[in-house]
Amino acid sequence: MMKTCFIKDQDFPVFIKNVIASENLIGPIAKQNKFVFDKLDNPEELRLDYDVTILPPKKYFFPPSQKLIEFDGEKYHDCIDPKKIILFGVHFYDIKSLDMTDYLFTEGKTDMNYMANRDAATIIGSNIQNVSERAFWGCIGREVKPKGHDGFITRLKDGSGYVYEIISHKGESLLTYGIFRDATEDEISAATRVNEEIMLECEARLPFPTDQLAERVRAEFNNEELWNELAEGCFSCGTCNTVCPTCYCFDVHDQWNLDQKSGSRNRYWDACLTSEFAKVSLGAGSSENFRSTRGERFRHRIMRKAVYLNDKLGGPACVGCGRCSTSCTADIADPARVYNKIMELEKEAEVAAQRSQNIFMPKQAMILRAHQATATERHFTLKMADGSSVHFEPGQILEVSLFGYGEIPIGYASSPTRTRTFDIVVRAVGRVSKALNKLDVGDSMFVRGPLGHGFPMEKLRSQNILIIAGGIGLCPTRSLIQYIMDRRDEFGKFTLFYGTRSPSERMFLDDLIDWHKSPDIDFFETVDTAEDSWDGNIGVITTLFEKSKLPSDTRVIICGPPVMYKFVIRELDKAGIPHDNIYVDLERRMKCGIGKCGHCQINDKYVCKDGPVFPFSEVEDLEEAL
Amino acid sequence: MGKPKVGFFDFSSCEGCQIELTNYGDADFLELLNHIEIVEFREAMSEKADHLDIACIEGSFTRESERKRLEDIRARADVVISFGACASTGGINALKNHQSDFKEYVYGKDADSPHLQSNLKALPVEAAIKVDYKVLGCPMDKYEFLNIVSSLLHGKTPYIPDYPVCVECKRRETICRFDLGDHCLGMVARAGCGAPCPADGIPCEACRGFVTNPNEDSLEKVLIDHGMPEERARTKSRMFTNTMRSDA
Ligand SMILES: Cc1cc2nc3c(=O)[nH]c(=O)nc-3n(C[C@H](O)[C@H](O)[C@H](O)COP(=O)(O)OP(=O)(O)OC[C@H]3O[C@@H](n4cnc5c(N)ncnc54)[C@H](O)[C@@H]3O)c2cc1C
Ligand code: SF4
Ligand code: SF4
Ligand code: SF4
Ligand code: SF4
Ligand code: SF4
Ligand code: FES
Repeated sequence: MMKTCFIKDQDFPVFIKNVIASENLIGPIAKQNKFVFDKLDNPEELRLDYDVTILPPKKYFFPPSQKLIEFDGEKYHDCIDPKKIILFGVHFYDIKSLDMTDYLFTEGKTDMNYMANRDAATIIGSNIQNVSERAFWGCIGREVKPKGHDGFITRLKDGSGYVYEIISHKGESLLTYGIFRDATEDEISAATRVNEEIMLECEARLPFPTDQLAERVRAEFNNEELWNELAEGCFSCGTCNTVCPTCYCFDVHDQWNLDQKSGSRNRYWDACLTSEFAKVSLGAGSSENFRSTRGERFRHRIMRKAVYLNDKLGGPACVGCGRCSTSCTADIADPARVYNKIMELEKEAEVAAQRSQNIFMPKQAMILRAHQATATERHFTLKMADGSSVHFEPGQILEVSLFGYGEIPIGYASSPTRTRTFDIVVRAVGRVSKALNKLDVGDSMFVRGPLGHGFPMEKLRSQNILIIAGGIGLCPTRSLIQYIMDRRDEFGKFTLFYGTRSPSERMFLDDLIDWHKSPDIDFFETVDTAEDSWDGNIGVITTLFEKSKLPSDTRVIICGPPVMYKFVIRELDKAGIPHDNIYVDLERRMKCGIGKCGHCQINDKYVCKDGPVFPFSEVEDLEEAL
Repeated sequence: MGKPKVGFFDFSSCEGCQIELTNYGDADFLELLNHIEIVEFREAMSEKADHLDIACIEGSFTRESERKRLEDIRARADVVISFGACASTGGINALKNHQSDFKEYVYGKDADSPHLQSNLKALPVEAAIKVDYKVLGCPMDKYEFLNIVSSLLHGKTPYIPDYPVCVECKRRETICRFDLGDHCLGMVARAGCGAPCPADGIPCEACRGFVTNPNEDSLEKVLIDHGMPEERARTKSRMFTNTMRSDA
C-alpha cells in the first residue's frame, strides 16, 4: 500500500461531511473543557486540535459494559454484533495502545467479542497539535512503533491542507469522499517534520531510556515501604485503570431480566486498584485478598505497566498518554513520577554502597582484544575479571592503572548499551600510557570507575545533535556516537565533525567507513595537512561549518585539544547557538578522580567529579577553564 | 413454590425510598409484582403475616423503643434487607449524631415534648438486628433493588460493588467535578448507583455511604488542595456517612 495524498484545507470540511453522510464517523469532539471520542454529526464538531480524550478509543472495541451472552431459560446465544465504524483522528500513542490490546485479546485464544469490533473499524490517525498536560509519549517506549491503523492524516503547519498517508485498503477507500491528489515530496517532508517537531514539544519527563525501566522497577518489588508511601493517598478508585488505554481487565456478572427467566452475562471494565479485584471467596463467608493493601495494588499496576508485559509488547505497556496522571484525584498515579522516584532510589543505594568501599581499590580487567589504531594509539576491548557488568554514561571516565607504573584517567570509548565489555583507547605519551600500550590480549590492567559526569543524555534526547571531535577527542565521543546510532529515533538530526592532524592519525577506520555510508548520520571529516592520496577535505575543523546547515536549536558537543575550543565556539556563535546548548569535554591532569586531590580543580569545579563534560555556559567565565 | 412473601416496614425516614420503588405504578414495579407477593406494607395492611420470606426495612433506628419491633420483624423473616440510606447507614438522620443542640435548633421551644424523645444517635437497622442485605442510596436505586430481589428469587447471593463511585463515573466518561473547579466525594462513596450525580453536573455526596476502607485522610487533603476550607473539608462527608466515619 503506502500511498500519500493531499487534500486542501478548504476541501477538508466537505470531505468530512461526505464521510458523515455515508459512514458511522467517530472522532474527537469537545465536552465542556475536555475532549471525548464520539459520533460526529457535522464537520464543525471534529476537533483535531484536541490534546487527549477522557477515555481512550478502546471503548469502541471493548466497551465499559458489554453483553457476552443472552439466555432465555431454553436457548442462549452470543452477542457479537459489530458495527462498522470509522475512528478518525487517533493520536499515535492511542494507535500504539490499540495495537497492544489487539495483541492481548488475540494471544492464545482470540476474543471475538473484542476482535469483531476491531475488524469492523477503520482507524485513521492524526498528528498531535496540542500536548496534554502530563503526557510523556515523547520519551516512553520509543522503541515501539505505532501500527495496525489504516491511514494517518497530518495537518501542515502553514494551514494549506492535510497530508493523508494511506496504509491499508480500508484507508484508501476514504479517498472517494474527498478531493485528494498525490502529495508532493515537499508536502510529505513537511508532514514528517510536523510529526517530528511535536515529539520535541512533549516534555522529556523520563531522563533515562525505557529499556532500563523494567529491570529497575522489578528490583523494587519487595520494597514495601516504597509502595506504601507511593500509595498513601490512594482511594482505590480504579480511575487510573479505567482511563488507561492499555488496561483491559474485566469482570463478568450474570443478570436476570425482570421476567426472572431471561437474562444476560455481561462484562464490565474492572480495575486492579480497587480493593475487590484480587479477593478470592473461600466460601462460608470468608475470603482472602491477595492484594489487601493500597501499596500492593499500586505496585501491581506499575508492574503491569512497566515490567510484566514488556516481553510480549516489545516495550512498556504504557504509552505515556498521561490520562491516569491527570484524572487521579489524589494526584499520585503519574507513572513518570513513580519511575523517576525508583531511578533515584537506585542512586541513593549507590551512595550507600560506595561508603563501604575503598575508593582507591581498582578492579582487574582482562584484555579481550588489542589493536594498534595508529602509531601511538592502542585500542583495547576489556572485560572485568570477576565477570561483573559495566554501566557508564557516554563521556564518563575511569582510572586505568598498572601497579608500579601508575594510574591515568581515560574515557570510555564504547557504547554504554554494551555492558559485558568496554573499550578504551590509550595514546602512548608517558610513563603509564606507554606501559599500557605494551599490553596484549590476555594481559590485565586495573581500573576504577565510572567517574564523573558524562554527556547529559536527558538534555540531548529528542534533540538535533552535532558532535565536534578533534584528534583523540573521538574516543570519548565514540561512546556517545554509538549510543545515538543504537537509538537513532530518540534523537533528531545527527551530525559529526571529525578532524585530525593527518590521515595517519585517523582512528576507528571501520567506524569511519560505516559512518560515511550511513543515512543516519551526517558525517564530515577533515585533516590539517595531507599528501595527494587523500581525497577528503583539507583544513582545520572549522572549515567543516560551511558544509553543513546547523539549525539553531542544535545541541553541540565539543571534545578535542584545548586550542580547538575557542575557534569552534566562534563558529557556533555565528550560527546562533546558545552557550547553554554547547557541552565541552575538558581534559585536566587528574590523580584521584573523585574530587579530593585537587589536581583537576578549575575555580570551584572539579573536572573529575563535576565534569569532564560541562555546559559551556557553566565554564566560559571561569578563569583557567579554556 | 408460591411467590415469596415480602413485607415493607417503616422507621425514621422520609419514605422517599418506597416512593422511588413504587413510583406510582411504574412498569418495572408492576412486573416485579408478578414474582413477589407483598403481604405487609408500611402497616397499611391490617393483616400481619406469621412468616415473611423477605422483610424490607426503611428508616433508621433512632429510639430504644423501636428495638422490640425490629426484633419481631427479624424473628418472622428469612431475609432482612435494609432499604435505603437511612436504614443501611443511618442516612441523613445521623447528622445529629455529633451534635447536642439539634432538638432546640429544629423545634425551638417545643424541644422537650415527650414525642420528640429519641436516642442521642440515629443508627442503621443493623445496630439492633442482623441485616442480610443492604440497598444503599438516598433514595435507594430501584434497579439495584430489583437486582437484589432477582438474585434472592434464584437463591443467588446478590452482588453489590464495593468500589468507589469514580469507577462508574469514569465508565460513563463524565468530566470529573474536580476538573471543573468543584469538589466531589465519589472517591470514597460506594458505587452501584451508576454515578448519576456527576453526570448531571453535581458532586457525589456519598449518599450510598463509604466503601470499605475509605481513605478519609486523603479525601480531606484533596478537598483542601482544591480550595475547600479546612474545617469544612474535615466534616464534608458527614451528610451521609456520619456513622461510618472514623470519628463516629
Ligand atoms: C577526562 C580525560 C579523559 C582522557 N581520555 C583519554 C583517552 O580516552 N585516551 C587517552 O589515551 N588519553 C586520555 N586522557 C589523557 C591521559 O589521561 C593522559 O594521556 C595520561 O594521563 C598521560 O599519562 P602518562 O603517565 O602516560 O604520561 P606522563 O606524562 O608520564 O604522566 C605524568 C602524569 O601527568 C599526568 N598527565 C599527563 N598528561 C596528562 C593529560 N593529558 N591529562 C591528564 N593528566 C595528564 C598523569 O596523571 C600522569 O600520571 C584523558 C584525560 C582526561 C583528563
Ligand atoms: S492511584 Fe489515583 S486514580 Fe488510581 S486508584 Fe489510587 S486514587 Fe484512584
Ligand atoms: S499508565 Fe497512564 S500514562 Fe500510561 S498508558 Fe496508562 S493512562 Fe496512559
Ligand atoms: S491488571 Fe489492572 S492495570 Fe492492568 S489491565 Fe487489569 S485493571 Fe488494568
Ligand atoms: S466526578 Fe466524582 S465520582 Fe466522578 S471521577 Fe470525579 S471524583 Fe470520581
Ligand atoms: S453519585 Fe453519589 S450522591 Fe449520587 S447517587 Fe451515587 S452515591 Fe449517591
Ligand atoms: S582528579 Fe583529584 S580532584 Fe579531580
